Parts: sequence; structure tokens; C-alpha cells
Amino acid sequence: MTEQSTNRPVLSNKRDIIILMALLGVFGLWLLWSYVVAPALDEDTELAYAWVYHENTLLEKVALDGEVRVWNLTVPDDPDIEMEISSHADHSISVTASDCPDKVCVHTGKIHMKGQSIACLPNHVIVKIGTEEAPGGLGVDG
Amino acid sequence: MNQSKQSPPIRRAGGHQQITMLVLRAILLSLSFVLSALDHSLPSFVPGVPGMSLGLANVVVLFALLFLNWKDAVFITVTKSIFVFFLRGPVSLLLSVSGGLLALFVEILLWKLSRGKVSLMLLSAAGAMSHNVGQIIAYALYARVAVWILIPPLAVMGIVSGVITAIVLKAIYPFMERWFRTHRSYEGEGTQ
Repeated sequence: MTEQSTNRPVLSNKRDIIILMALLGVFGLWLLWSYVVAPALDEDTELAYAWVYHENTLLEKVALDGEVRVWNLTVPDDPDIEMEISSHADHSISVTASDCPDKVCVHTGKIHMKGQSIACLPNHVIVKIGTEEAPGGLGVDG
Repeated sequence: MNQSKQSPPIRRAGGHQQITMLVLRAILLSLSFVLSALDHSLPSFVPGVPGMSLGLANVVVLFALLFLNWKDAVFITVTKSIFVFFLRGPVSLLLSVSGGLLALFVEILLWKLSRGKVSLMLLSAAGAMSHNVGQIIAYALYARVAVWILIPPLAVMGIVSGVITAIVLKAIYPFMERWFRTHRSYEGEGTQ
């Protein structure tokens, strides 16, 4: 600790604040573009669809047309999976209940933009939002 | 005979110091478990973005890095991930360990390259951003889903939570420095 006493780290300095502000600016603008500007420009185009997969097998394709529905997901290959999916009036979809241990899918909440996804990794279930023709919309699957 | 049974004073002091450090490590580990569980129990800050959390346990890891050494920080990160595995399953272990180790690697690299001159805010924010990046890379590889759209909110959240972590660390720094000076047990083995 002798070294730390003589070399106590500072909370911030001018150089580091500039770096942080620059990063915040870049990612802030990217955030604004992805979540506000791009969806607004895309508003008049086609209806979004939710593609629900289990291990790369398409289970269902749901139009996010504002109809409120709650249903239990049926997975033919694994009938033990218990998941409840809801579509909402604000043209979004969410996983509202799941028997997985981590509940990351439930905590993800509502998604509505093309390119967004909900993954229930323990159950191998993925919900991707795209167009009627293709999932993922933006085509940037990782 | 009684004298021969007693340990020499220096060895007694060494044992005391070792116990003190052991207790400190145990406290840090427990604290990281509690903060990790608390973090997970909070709702996601931004809907549609998985893993959006404050990263409270990062305070403990960064503290270990600054006051103990990188090995202790790695130990806390890995053990916390194992705790997460028992609590939430193997996928959470994957996300926790990938985010935690990448964050730690970036923090150690920044600290070493700057020779301890980097500010707490940049160190902590870089760690928090790397944590989120590590997690979404693991998430993308595992789930094979689009991740670009998740990067901006997670990066902004990383910077904000990193700054909060740095403020907390700066606030407790003088107390811990005094504590270490009192116990005088761990000289020179810091991250430097």
C-alpha cells in the first residue's frame, strides 16, 4: 500500500473527461439514430413481424399489428418448454413468462424495432423482429 | 517447554496479516455475490436490451484491482461467475465470465499502460463498457442474433455506470487507505 499512498488515482482529469465525452457523444448519436431517427423514417414502410425460432426451426411468424394476444409457445421438439409470449397494442412483443432459470428473456421486455431480438438461451428460443419476408430486418445477424 | 510451543513473534504477526487479508478477500467476495444478485433483481433499464444493468459488482472488482492485485481481481470475477451459475444457470455463467474477464483485461491493460496515471472515471467506464461488450459478443455467438442495435445503449449505460462506480470508489478510497496503513500488511503488492 506504500505505492498506493504515493500514487493515489484521481477521480478524473481533463484528458480523460474529454475521452469520455467523445465516447458518450459517438454512442449517444448512434443511440439516437438507431432508436429514434431510423424508426421514425421507417414508420411508413411495411409491417413488422416477429419470427419465433427453436434451434433454427421456425415455430411461428406473428404480425405486430397492434392486436393484443397472450399465448403459450408450443415447441414440438421439446414439449417441456413453458414460455408465454404476448403481443401488445403498441406493436411490440415480449416474453412474459418462462421456465428458464435466468429469466433474461423476460427481463428483456418489449421489442418492436426491426433488428431487435429476444433470446431465451437456456430454452434455445429466439424471437427476432423483421419484415414479412425475412427475420432480423437489418440483416446484421451476429 | 511452554516457550518452545509459542510461535516466534514475527511468524505470529505474519499469520495475523494473512488472516486479515483472508478476511478482506472473503468480505469482497461476499459483497460481489450480494451486489451481483441485487443487480439481477432490478428491472432492465431500457426495454428490449438484455443485460442492461448497473454492474454494481464492478465496484468490488475494481477495488480488488487497486488495493490488492490483479490475481485477486481475477479470482473474485471467476468465483462470482460460478456463484451466478448456481443461481441462474450455465448461460448466465457464460455471459458473466465473458463480460467480467474482458472488463478486467481492459482495466489491467489501461492501468499498466498508463502506469497508474489513468483516472478512476476512465478506468471504471472502460471496464463497464468492456463488460457489456464481452456479454453481447457471447450473447451474439451463442444465440446467433443481431447485436449491433444493442451496442449504443449498452455503451452509454457502461459509461454512466462506470462514472458512478468511480465516484463510489473515490469516496471509500481514503478510508481503505487508512485501514491498510493501520494493518500495514500488504506493502508493495498492488496492481502496479
